[in-house]
This record gives sequence, C-alpha cells and structure tokens, in this order.
Amino acid sequence: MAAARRLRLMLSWLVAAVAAVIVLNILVNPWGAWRFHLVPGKYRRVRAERVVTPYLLRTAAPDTLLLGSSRTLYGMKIEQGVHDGVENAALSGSRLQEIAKEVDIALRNPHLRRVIWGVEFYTIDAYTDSCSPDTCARLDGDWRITLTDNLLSADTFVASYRMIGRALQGKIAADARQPIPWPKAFICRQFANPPPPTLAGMDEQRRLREISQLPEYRQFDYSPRLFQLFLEIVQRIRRAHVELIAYVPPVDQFELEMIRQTGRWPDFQRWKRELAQHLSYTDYSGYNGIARSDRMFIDAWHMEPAVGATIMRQLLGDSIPDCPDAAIVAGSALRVTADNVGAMLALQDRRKDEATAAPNVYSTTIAAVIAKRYGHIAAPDLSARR
Amino acid sequence: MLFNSYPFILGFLPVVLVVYGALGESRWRQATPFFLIAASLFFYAWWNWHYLLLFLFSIAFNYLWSRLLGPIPPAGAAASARARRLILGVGIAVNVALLGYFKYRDFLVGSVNGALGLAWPLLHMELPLAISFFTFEQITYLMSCYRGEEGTGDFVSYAMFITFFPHLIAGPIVRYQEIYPQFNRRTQFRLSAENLTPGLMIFAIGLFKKVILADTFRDYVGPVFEAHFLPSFPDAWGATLAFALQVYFDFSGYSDMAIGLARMFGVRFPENFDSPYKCTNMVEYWHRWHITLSFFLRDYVYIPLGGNRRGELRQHLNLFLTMLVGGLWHGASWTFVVWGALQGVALSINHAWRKHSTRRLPALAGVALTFGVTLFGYVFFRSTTFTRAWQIVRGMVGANGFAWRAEFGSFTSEMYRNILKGLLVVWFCPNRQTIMQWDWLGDYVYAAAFVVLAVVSVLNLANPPAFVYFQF
Repeated sequence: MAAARRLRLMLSWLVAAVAAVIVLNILVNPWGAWRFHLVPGKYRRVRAERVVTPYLLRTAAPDTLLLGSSRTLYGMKIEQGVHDGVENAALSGSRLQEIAKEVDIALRNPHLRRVIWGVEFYTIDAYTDSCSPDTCARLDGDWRITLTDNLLSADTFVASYRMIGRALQGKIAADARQPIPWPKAFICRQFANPPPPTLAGMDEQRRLREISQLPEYRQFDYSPRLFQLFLEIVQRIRRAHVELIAYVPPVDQFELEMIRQTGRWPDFQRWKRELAQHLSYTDYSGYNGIARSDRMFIDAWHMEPAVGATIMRQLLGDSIPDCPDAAIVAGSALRVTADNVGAMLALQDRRKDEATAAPNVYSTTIAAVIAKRYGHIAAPDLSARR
Repeated sequence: MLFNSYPFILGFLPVVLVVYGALGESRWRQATPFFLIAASLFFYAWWNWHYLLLFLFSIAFNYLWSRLLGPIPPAGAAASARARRLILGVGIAVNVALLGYFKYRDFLVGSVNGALGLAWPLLHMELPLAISFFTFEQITYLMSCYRGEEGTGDFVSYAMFITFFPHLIAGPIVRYQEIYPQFNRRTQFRLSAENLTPGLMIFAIGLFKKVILADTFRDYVGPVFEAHFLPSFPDAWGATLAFALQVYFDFSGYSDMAIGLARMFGVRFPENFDSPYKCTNMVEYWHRWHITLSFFLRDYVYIPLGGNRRGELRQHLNLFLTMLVGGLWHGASWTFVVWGALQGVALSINHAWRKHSTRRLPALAGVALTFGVTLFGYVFFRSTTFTRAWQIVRGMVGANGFAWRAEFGSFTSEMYRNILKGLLVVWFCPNRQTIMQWDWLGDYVYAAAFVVLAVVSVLNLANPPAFVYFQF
C-alpha cells in the first residue's frame, strides 16, 4: 500500500507539474507561435531567433521583412522580433534553403510590401547547401517540434516566466521602444555611445579571440546551384509584387583580409558581378570607411546597430542622420546595377590595392591567425587565384 | 528509439505500459510475452528498420542452433561431447563472423591496405544497431545451452530475453539465466506499484544524469578532440576530464534508465556501475565500471584462455588479451585497441603489485592513480587518430604550452567550474544504489524528488544526442 500511495503521489504531481508548465507556456506564448497571448508581444525578447522566427513569421503580419544573416539580425536588431510593422527574420548563419522557406511563409502575408535582404557571399559556398534540420522542421510547420518547442521546453518555460516579469514591471528597454526606421537623433546617440561590446573597445586578448573566430574561406567552393536557388527566391518575391531591396552588409577589414589572404577575393568579386546581372543592390562591403572603423563593429563579424539603422534609412530613401559616423556609412555605399557593375568592381579592386599596399594591423593579424589556425599545415599560397 | 527522446517518453513507454498492464489483468494474459516482443521489435526498428531482418535472423539462427546442441550426453559418450563442442564452436563462430563482417571488416581491410599499400574497397556500412550487445548475449545463451542450464529451450522466453527493449540497445549485457526465471514467475506480466515506483525513480535519475549532466560535459569535449589546433595544458586536461565525466554520466545514466525500465515490468537487471571513479585500483575499477561487460569478458574470454590457472606470466598475457578484446569490442579502430592494451597492462601491473608487494597505496593516492590511468586511456578512447591522441598527451604534459586558448574565452573557465562540480558529484555524492536504499525519505520527499528530476529532464530533452555507447 505504501508503494501504491507513493506511486499515486509521483504520478499526480508529475502530471500537475507538466500541466502547469504547458498551461503557462500556452498562455504566455513567448515565441509567438499562435496569435493568442496573455502578455503583449512588446515584452518579448528574441534570444534564439532560429526558434522564434519560424513561428513569428506565421503569426505576425509585418509590412517590411528583413532577411539575411546575423549581420542583419544584430545590425538591424529588433528586440521583440517584430515591431512597428517590421519583422527581422534574419537567422544566424542563414542558408539559402532556409531563406527560401522563410520567403514562402512570408509571402502568404497579404500585408507584406517589401523585403530588405542582406545578401551574403558565404551563402553561395557549396558547404552551406543544407538546411538546419530543426530550423527547417520549424519552417515546414512540423507539429512535433512545434509542440516540444512551445510547450515542453525549459527555455520556453524560462522565457514565459521572464516575459511575465517584464510585463508586470512594464519593463521595455529604451532601444526597443524606438520607432522603425530608427530616428536620426537616436542613431547619432548610438554612434556616440555604442552599447558594449564593440570591436574597438575590446582588450587585445578578446579582440584577438574574436578575430580568430572569423569564418573559414579557405575551402570556399562557389556553387552555381546555390546561386540558382538565390535567383529563384528573388523571382518568387518579384512575382508576389513585393518590393525587394538588396544590400551587401558591411564587412570588417579583418574579414576582408581573411577573404583576400585565403585567395577568395576574385570569388567575392565574381559573386557581386553575377548578383548585379539579376538585381540592383547597395554594396556596403569592401575596403571602405566602415571596414576600417572598428568602432562600427560589435565584433569582427557584425556591424553595430547604429550602422544597420543608418543603412536601413538609406535603403528606404530616408534622410541620413547628421553625425560624422552616419556620413561614413552613407559614403561607403555603392549603388551597383548591371550597367555600372564593371566600374564598381574596379573601384573595389583599387580600394583593396590601396589598403593592402603596405602591411597593416589587419593584414598582419590575419596572416598570424591563418598560420595559427592551420597549425603545422602550411599557410595557404596567397598568390593562388582561381 | 532513444530513451531520452519525446517519442519514447511520451509515446512508446506509456502505451507499452498501459497495454502491458491491461493484458496482464485480462484473459489474454498469455499474449503478454508476444506483445512485449512485438513492442521491442518496433522499438528496434524505429532507429533503422533495414536491420530488423538481420536481427531476426540472428535470433532464429541462435535458437535453432541451440536446439542442435541437445541435452548433455551421459558420461563416457565422448563422440557426442565432441559433436556438441563442435556445434557450439560453429555457433559462436557464426555470431562472431556476423559481428566481424559488419563491425570489423572495414577496419581489417583498411589496416591491410595501409600496411601493404593495397586499395581493397571499403564497404562503409552503417553498423547494425546494438549488434555488439545482442551478439554477446546470444553467445551467452549458446553457452547456457551447452552447459545444460535450466530453462533453455523455450523460444518465446528466449526471444523475449533477447529483444526485451530495456537492454536491447546498449545493455546491460544480461544472461539468460538472470532473466529467464523472472519471466517465468507466476506474478509476472502484471504491473505493480512495488515495481513501478522504484522503476520510475531509477529511470528519472538516469534521465537526469544523461540529459543534464552528461550532455553538459559533451559540449566541452568536441572542441578539443575534434579540432586541429595543438591543445595547451588546460585545454587537453579540461577536454579529457570532461570526457571522463561525459562518458560516465552518459553510460551510467543509460544503464540506470535500462534498469529502471526493466523494473517497471518487474524484471531486475544486474547493476552496471558502482561509483567506478571512487576506486583505489584498476582491478576494483573493472569490477565497478560496465560491470556486465567485465563479467562477460572474464567468463567468456579470460577464463577460457586459462585465467590464472597456468602460471603468473600466462595470467598477465591472458589479462592483456582479454582487455584487447574489450578494446576492440568498443570500436573497430586501432585507438580502441591501444586503449584496451593500456587497460590490460594496468590490470597486469595491479595484479603483480598485489602479489609481490605488501605495501598498499594510501586510499587517496590509489584513487588519484586509478583515475589518472583511466584518463590517460580516455585520450585514446576518444581520439579518432593517433596523431590527435599524441597531440593531446603532449598537451597534458605541457609540451604545447600552458596558456588558456584565447579563442575559447570564458569557455575554458566555465568548463573547469563544471568539471569541478562533476568531480565533486562522482567522488563525494552517494550513487543511485545508495539513494534508492534511503528508507528515511518520506513519500512526499520521494515524490517531489522524482517530479523535479523528471520535469527538469523532460523540459531539456530537445534535440537529444545519442548515447556514447550506442556506437558499440
């Protein structure tokens, strides 16, 4: 009898505890998986965008959608995922297969008017010809992962708990309350006082750590198949009569050196050339004013939110903030079309040659990183060109 | 199907328990074994149904072969005894050949290719799930039949013994004689609170070990063992210590889950772990780590080789060969062979020390030495190449410098904090067997502990990684 009583207690408490977690997660709905929610979405904080974005894409009805990688995700950061009719659906390390699925879902939204897409060179690497199984399952609407993500996950439970806490305190970060596109004064304030961390503000050890983690370009394998997929996504957006605004996000000079010193600069240029044959875009990458301003980067990969906010204003045709850093961002933009792509790429080559004519902190640091990364393996032949 | 997955915990297990319970209380109670066999085959096929036929063939072959053995002949019937020995030998050879083909063929061909500069093709076949475990268990069954032990002969009991899902995938390696009597108890095939209560608790403890503890340490292992850089002193020690904790919590967690599941169905499995990192010598360690494998190797390899009956030198050779087999059982790779050889050498030294020296190490030094030898072995166990293993060994002696790797940042300090907590748990906390004997736990504390363990584990189940021992 003692065992029976103990078993009854165990099972009843287990059912009660699991039910409590499920009910809380349903009511709070921290990932926005369904339209019903007890706590307003403005108190949401997106920390794991690969979990949240696939759900928000289905339930939010934005007029502007941001696509791209973590550069767009952090550079045009929207704390709640969607705010003021703009949804940031960029994914860290996004693959084209994932973006294709995102676009398919987003185009079902009748309110969608424009897509701002931070196109990325690495997404044409054959290595990225895949789809994260979980992200794809979420984008495909797999009911199993939907249930476990939204009802039976410790992360969801903690997010629900914290969202209730923020709502009870009425706590929304000042940045998250700003209208989008972000106001000029706000952008200038952010340029003057960027939220930590910044690449420029890091101590030398951490800075080296960040630079050492720059992505791998040595094995880059240009994939025509992926480029074709990219074009298909572009066609889908155009066929839906949704405006497509494409831009190449800023790349820090350390990463540019990684591209150049691993022999991938010609691939980078080729990709931009092919891009321009099919759509006009604004190019913020290259050896420009942004690339050599470490204060404009969170780390060695990602632009500061103030940079992204300025870019968004420029892409939408809004006026540029009246502060020097915003002017540098705006001045770095190259509007590339099929007609001028040759001239623009020649300009990029010239800037590259000027910036690398003599050894500098960027070129020497990356040379050391490459040598260290491959250990006893000889550093790649820098003169190699394909 | 993984024990630590939603389909198993929320689907398979509750359904099987409910149907099992209902059948046990109904007039179709006799059908319960058939239901358990069917459920276990479904459990097996969930992972990869392609190998279900192989599994069924193996079961059918071993059962039919065991019938060929017949009863033990009367004393003096030498011809009959020879025939039985031959049948047994062929039966074991077929099992070993099947295992060898699927698990070791590429290893052998690759080794020959490497040694002779040949280019014989490799098959790159996926290893049939649990083949090492069900092969060993069926060899024990043939041996039981050969020895004429009680109960052998009933096909349903045999099929249930082999397929019973709690031990099917990764052990414990149970013997027919341990399980058969339990399937034949009159009270069997009924759910009871006396079994369900501890069964659920043991399963929850195992799940917690796997999901919360083992998977935490897993994250620290790959970045060093699978990378190309030369690991520094803290990197190499951190990754090796993390692997020691990962593999312990992973496999002992799995064993706890298997033991708990079997208990829910009224079957008691032998223990597989008994706080091995608290051991003061290697002999004791192998009595408390993967206990059922140790006993299998002792009874079916070491003793048939002559054990300690043919002199001291031969005993050391037998130990060495036995652990070599143990190493190969873990994986078809020379790194596993070296790991097995290291265990054999360590056991031999330990036996020789015991025999020739009256001095005993202080307990603390014994624990440190045993754990140190275990860690050294793990470097080869976890590394996929000798080059990497050697780089890590060099890192552990400081040949690659003492600097904390800048790229890892707070990762290294966080790793060491968690390793410290893990070591405190394995060295100073009571193990599951002890906890389950605490009678002073009231019903409320017991139930609350179960709910906390179960809920925390279930809420962290997303993307369950496979158990380390699934690959064996």
